[in-house]
This record gives sequence, structure tokens and C-alpha cells, in this order.
Amino acid sequence: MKRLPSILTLLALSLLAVPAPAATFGNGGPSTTNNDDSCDVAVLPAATLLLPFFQVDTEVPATGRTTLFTITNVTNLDRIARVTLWTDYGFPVISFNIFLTGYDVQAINLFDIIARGIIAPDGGTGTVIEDRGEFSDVNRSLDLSRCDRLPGQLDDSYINRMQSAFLEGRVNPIGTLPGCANVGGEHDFATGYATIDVVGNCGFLQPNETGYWTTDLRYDNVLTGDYQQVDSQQNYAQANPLVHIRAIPEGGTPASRTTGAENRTNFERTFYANYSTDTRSDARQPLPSTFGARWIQGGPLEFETFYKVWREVPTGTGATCASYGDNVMPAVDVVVFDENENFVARADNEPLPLGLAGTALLAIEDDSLPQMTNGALSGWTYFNLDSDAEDEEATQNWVVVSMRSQGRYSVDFDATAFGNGCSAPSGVSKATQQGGTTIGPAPNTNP
Amino acid sequence: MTYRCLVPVVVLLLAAVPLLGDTFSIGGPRSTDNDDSCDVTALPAATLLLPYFEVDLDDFNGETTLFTVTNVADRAQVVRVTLWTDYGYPVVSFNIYLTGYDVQSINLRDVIYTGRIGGEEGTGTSVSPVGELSRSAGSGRDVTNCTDIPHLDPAIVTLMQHAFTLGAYPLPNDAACVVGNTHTNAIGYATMDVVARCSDALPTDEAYFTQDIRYDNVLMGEYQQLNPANAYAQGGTLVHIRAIPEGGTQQSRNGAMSAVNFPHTFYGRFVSGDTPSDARQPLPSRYLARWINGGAGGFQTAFKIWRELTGRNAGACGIDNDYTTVAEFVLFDEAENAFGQAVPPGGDPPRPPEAQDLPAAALINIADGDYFPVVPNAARAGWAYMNLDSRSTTATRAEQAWVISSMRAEGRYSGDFDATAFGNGCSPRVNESEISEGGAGPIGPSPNTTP
Repeated sequence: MKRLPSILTLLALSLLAVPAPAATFGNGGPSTTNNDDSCDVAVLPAATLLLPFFQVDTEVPATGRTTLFTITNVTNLDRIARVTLWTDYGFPVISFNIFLTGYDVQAINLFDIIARGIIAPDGGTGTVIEDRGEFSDVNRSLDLSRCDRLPGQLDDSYINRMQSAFLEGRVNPIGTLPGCANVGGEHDFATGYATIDVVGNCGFLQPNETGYWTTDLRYDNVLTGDYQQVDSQQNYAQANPLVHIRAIPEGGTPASRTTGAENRTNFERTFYANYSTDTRSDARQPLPSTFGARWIQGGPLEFETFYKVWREVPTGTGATCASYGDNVMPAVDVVVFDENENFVARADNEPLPLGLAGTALLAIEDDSLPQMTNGALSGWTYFNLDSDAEDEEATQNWVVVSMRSQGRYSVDFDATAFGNGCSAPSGVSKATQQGGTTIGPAPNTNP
Repeated sequence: MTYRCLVPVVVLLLAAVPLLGDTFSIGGPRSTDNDDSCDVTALPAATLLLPYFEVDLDDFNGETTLFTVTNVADRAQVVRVTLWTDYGYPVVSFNIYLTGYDVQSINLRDVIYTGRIGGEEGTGTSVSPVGELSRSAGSGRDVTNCTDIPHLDPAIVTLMQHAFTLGAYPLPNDAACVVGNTHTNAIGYATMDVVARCSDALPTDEAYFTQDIRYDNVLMGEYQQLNPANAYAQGGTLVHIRAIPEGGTQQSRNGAMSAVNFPHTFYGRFVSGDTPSDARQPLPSRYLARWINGGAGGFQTAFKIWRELTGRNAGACGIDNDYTTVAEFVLFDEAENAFGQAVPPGGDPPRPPEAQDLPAAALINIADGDYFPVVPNAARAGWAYMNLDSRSTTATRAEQAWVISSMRAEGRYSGDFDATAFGNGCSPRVNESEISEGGAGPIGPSPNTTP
């Protein structure tokens, strides 16, 4: 079938589709039924994908634990995705680009990258490498001048930098990238998180550099992705969608969005608020701070529950090396319920020992969480992961529930957020502090 | 009045700093309020959907599906669970009483095989423990019949087993309706709604929406599907469907502030009149889902698909569209080769009668050529585009659906995760793409109103 040029096909689609019934309303609810018009983070095509936690055994090829993720471009036009790998303290160690033709999909095994320095085996990605499907179109709004052959093999210096960062929490200087001995915790396995952003060129700026926001970033909600965490030795695999963070309003470039009321971002703050130039120019949806997450522990089926917790760190553009250690932050409140509605929380006015940085794998049995003493085997946990109960804005977080049983069963699924990223801070609950707030969903404006 | 709990909400409002959310006439998003969009995600909800269940009734150690319902608020709630066949026939409803912050696990083998609901002691106001932070059910609730919710009668257990495995549902004269497909395992889907009382009304009964239904977004839940024989477990969040606007009763929801602005709702096909009084968010109709098949790891990908069947109101024996057409399936491989449908709906010659027609709940393997286009180039991975609208000419909107990717490998790895929707449930219906014969236009996300 002969294809139409991309712009014509887009026009054709808009003509073929029934006109959008979506709208906004002055009364009743919801106020908007439009697509891409809310603060709710859902599994919808997005401009940023977040892998909240990764763990890679760099010593045991193919048989150890690793984390894989996949990025898919859901449109017919070329896209560039900038992947950044961060330590658990929120230090951006390395960024690299993935060139995606229309409808392209790219799988990434983080063992390949961190242990072997190989991006997108076997040949890497790039405009001269990628196949172009019959229905894929050139995106003329991109600067493809450095995208012809993106590196498939990283130098040893980069491999060393990644391994020391994700295993030992330190980095040596390399090129223009500075060194720092304080960028993460020490781990048996490489640990961190990843972000994937739609960008407009194949440069190597990172999110903590100003140019990332003034020239590189784009605002097209066109990516989707999922991850698998595999542990061959323990026979488990866990899978889940990546966190899909939309840019709203969508489209344009950093330059074109500086004028026009229609380009205004109405979020009070954004996902990249600590990095972007005016705290909202990234236009990414913010993430919530309160969650409900199921737990099962012990019993005849030998259940284990872990939480993969991602947290917003305060270090942004211009952060000093010394400041990354401060990213291990307290949480306002954690309350553990059993199935008989008994609960445990920290004692009134005593600090919660829970201190988490940018990402962590937290066992329900971890001493930093309140512990049931009645032998209960299951229940749910209320997390208020805001780092400061006194300020007017809740810090952002994400929680994935990760369960295992009998050395053969394992599942991951997102915890339930109790509001969206625009909801007000909840404060300390009355489970923890006399006169505190009632645990429950964030308030809304409905009758 | 009621509702989720008027007093605690007021307390919360007083204790918390003022709402940050707001609405805007320009820029984006137009609303930053909580519970104020058509986007379906894992937030406390008034309805939970388990899109697909499967239970081996012959082997106690065989495959089963479990789910958990949690009340995330301090007020007690009644939850009505309805089990539906794969043709969308509601076989049985039962109630779960949840005190504040209560959690209830349900193993569907217990329900369908023995009629047991909850633990051995069951559920109810006289049974469920009450925690220190738990409060009584609010006004607008009648829990007088919730004292000791019994396990299901053996006759109902037999009905369920026939319906979910044989697709047969006996009428009073012992004649059988065809209400589902025939399966070795019991197969169907489940819905869970916040309701006002403990009754046995089904969503197909008028009283369900005129008396029983409530609008409090207070439930969360997840599911696990276990298959001990193959040593795999799959899990995910239930589909969280919010009532918007929230709160109130049918009688109190009569002002402009209670207007439901969705063009249609999740239960719209069961609600009489033009007003979508269930107020539940509608689900999208188009999805993208990753697939991997074959290779050294022995990968298999199947999709758990739930679909709305709009043409029927599920009368006593009124299954007249057990399967409906799917608008489009397209498979992409990792080299962006695309494989669409050779024969479009209404094409000449027409599609085989059942090809690409799906019931309300199904598990479909990516390699099943009756449904998905065949990939001729030996590709092992890619992604599938599914437009699950039936394109029915009698429907004025896209029909709702939900898709879960379910992957397995090496007889030991398995994972479920939600497919990516291409718009929300309020997005317009979309025709077949240029990739399928007779279609036009590219595949892509639904349009939005931003620049």
C-alpha cells in the first residue's frame, strides 16, 4: 500500500476520527474529559519514562540478576530518547541516546550497559543503522546531525565510572564530567534508577545541565515502556510498566513554548522541578507522595514483600558533590496495618528511622519500618513519603510492590497512590501523632 | 447524605493545607484536581475490575486467581462482588463487609468450588474485627443485613461451576441458556462496587443503580494468578475505576455539582435513561502491548482482554452477541515491519464468522492466527496494536476494553502488566489504520487539545 506523507496522514487521521467529544466543564465532574489534561499519572503514552529501581549483578553474566527495559515509539515519526542512569542518591552517572524510527521498539539489558558497556546490541542505534519500516516517517523537527551512528560500545572508562558509581557510590572524573566520592550507597549489586526523556538532538547533556532544558528537551507524549527484573538463580522475574509521565501541555520546543498562554504549564511544580530552568519548564506531571501498598510476609507459602521506592531528591542543577549525601531523607509517616485493622506506627514525636534516598529496595521486615508484633502475616502499608511535614509542598515519590514466594513465584505491581502529584501534603496521620490527619484518599472538589 | 465519610473528610480538609489542585481556562492541564479526569490509573476507586480470572476446579493445587480488596478510608464499606462469565453474563453477586482500613483476600477457587467467601469465619458486622482507627459505616448506608454474610449456597456453587466451565446457566424449567464458552477451567471476570447495603442485586437489576450503588473512591486492590504446575505467578493491580463526581446517593446527586460529564460510563449499558448515573470512568478502547514469542528463552506472550459488549443488557437468557468484532489488530516487529488485517470488517469477501471476534473476557496468545495477523518473517518480538472497538454501526461511541500483557519464559518466569492505552475512555473512536487493508491514517495516540 502506498503511504501518505506524514503530515497528510496526520490530517487524514484527524478527519477520519469522529471529532473529539472531550471537553471542559464549569460544573459537575470531571472538569475535563480531554486526553492528556490532568495531573493523574496513568499508563498512557508519555514524554518521560521512569524506571524507579534497577539492580544488576555485574559479576555473573547471564545467570545473575539484571533489569531489562523496553522503550517503544508509538507514533509514525522518528524520535530520540535520552536515557540517564542515576545512582540511588540521585547522581546522574551517564546519559546516552536511543534513536527510534516510527513504531520502533528498543530493548535494553542494563547488564549489557553496566557490565559490558554495550548499548543496544549488536550494532547500536542511529539513523544509518536503524531499519525504517514501511509506515515510519522522517521527523524533520529533530536535529539528527549527531544521530547517524550512536555508540554501541562504551569506553572502559565509562564502564568503570558506572560500576564504581552504582556499586561503591563514587565516580572518578572523566572528560568534562566531575568526580565525586559521595554519589551513592555501597551495594553488592549495581543499584539505581533510570529516566528516559524525549529530546530533540543526540547530544550528551544530562538533566543536571542547563542546556538540557533550554535546547534538548521535547514535549511529545509518544513513548511507552515496561521493565523486567530477572533473577535466574532464584527463578523469579518481575514485570511492570515504567512510570509514564506526560508533558502537559504537549508539543513544541523550549524556545517555542516561551510565549503564548496556551503553552502555559498549570502544574504548581513538575517532575523535574529541581532541574528545569524555571521549575516548571519541563511540563512533566509531578508524582504523588502518599501510597497504599499490600504486604504478605511468612506463612506456609514463605511470602516475602519488598517495596521498590523512588524518591525525589533535592539536588538539582548545580548541586555540589557534598550535597548528595544529604539525599538520604526521612519520610513523614509510615503506618503498617494487618488484616484485622490493627496498626503500628512510630511513637508520637519520635522520628521515623526510615531514611531513603533516590531509590531503594525496602523489605517489609526492615527495622526502619514499624513492625507488627502480633504474628500477623499480611495487611497493607500506608506510606507518606513526603520528606518534610512542615513545608507547603509534598516531595514526589513512586512505590512498586514486589512479592515473592517459595522461590518460584514473584510479582511486581504499582502501589495505589492516595492522590495525584498536585494534591496537597497530607501531614502526619493520627495513627502516628495525636491530632494528626485521617489516613485516606486525598480530598477532591467533588460535592 | 453520606458518603465516604463526611466528618473525616471535613477534618482532613481542616487539618491539611488548602487544596493545591485547581482548574484553568487555558494552558495545560485544565485541571490539577484529584479525581477530576477521565484517566484511569491506580488511585482509590469506587469500582474495581478483575479483567480475567481462571480457576482449575479439578485440582486443588491447580491454577487459581486470587484478589484482594482494601478499604483505604476509616469508614466501614460494603463491597458487592459480581462474577461474570466470559460472555458477560452476571452469574452471582456477594457482599464483603470491610471495616475501616480493612483488607479482604478472596481465592476464587474457594468461591467457585466451595462457595466460601473470605476466611472460614466469613465476613460481616458481627465477624469483622474493628480496628482502633476504624469507624462505623456512614449515613446513606444500611448494614442491617450485613451482620453475618453467609457462604454461598451449594445450589449456587453448582450454578457457578456450570456457568464458568460449561457456559450453561439453568433456567427454572431446567432448560439451559448459553451464557459462556466451554472451558476446562472456570473462566470469567469480576467487578467490585462500593454499595449501600448487603443485597443480592446484580448490576443487571434496576435496583442496583437506583438503590444500591454508591460513589465513594475508597477501594484499592490487586490480583495474583497462580499456576503451581507451571511454577508461575502473575500479578497486577485491579483496574481502578473512579466515580466522578464522588460521594452522595442517587437521591442526593441531583444538583448541577453532581452532573456527570463523561460522555458515557463504565456501566452505561446497564443504566436506564440518558444520564450515566453510575458516574464511573469509562475505559479506553485502543491499546499497545509488547510481545515476545519463541527464541532460546521459549518466550510466550498472551493478552488478557476484557471487553464491553454494548449490544446486550444481559436478560435472563439474552445472550445475542456473545462475541463481537474487533476493529483492528496490527503486529509490529522490532524492525518496524507492520502486519495488519487482510480483510477489513465489512470487506469482500467478509472475514470468517468468528475470526477476530472476541467475547467479554479472553486469554489470547500472540501466535493465535485466528486473532492476530501472522508474522511471516520469523521475528521474535515487537508490539501489538489493538483497537478493540467493535466499530458497530449501532454504537455511537468506542466500546470499552482493558488489556494486560502476560508473558512467560523457560517454564519459570512470568509477568503481567497493563498495556498502554492510546487515549482515555472519553477519547473518540478511531477507524482502521492505513496498515490494514481498507483503512487509512497512521496509528498513534488519541488527539488532545494542547498545542
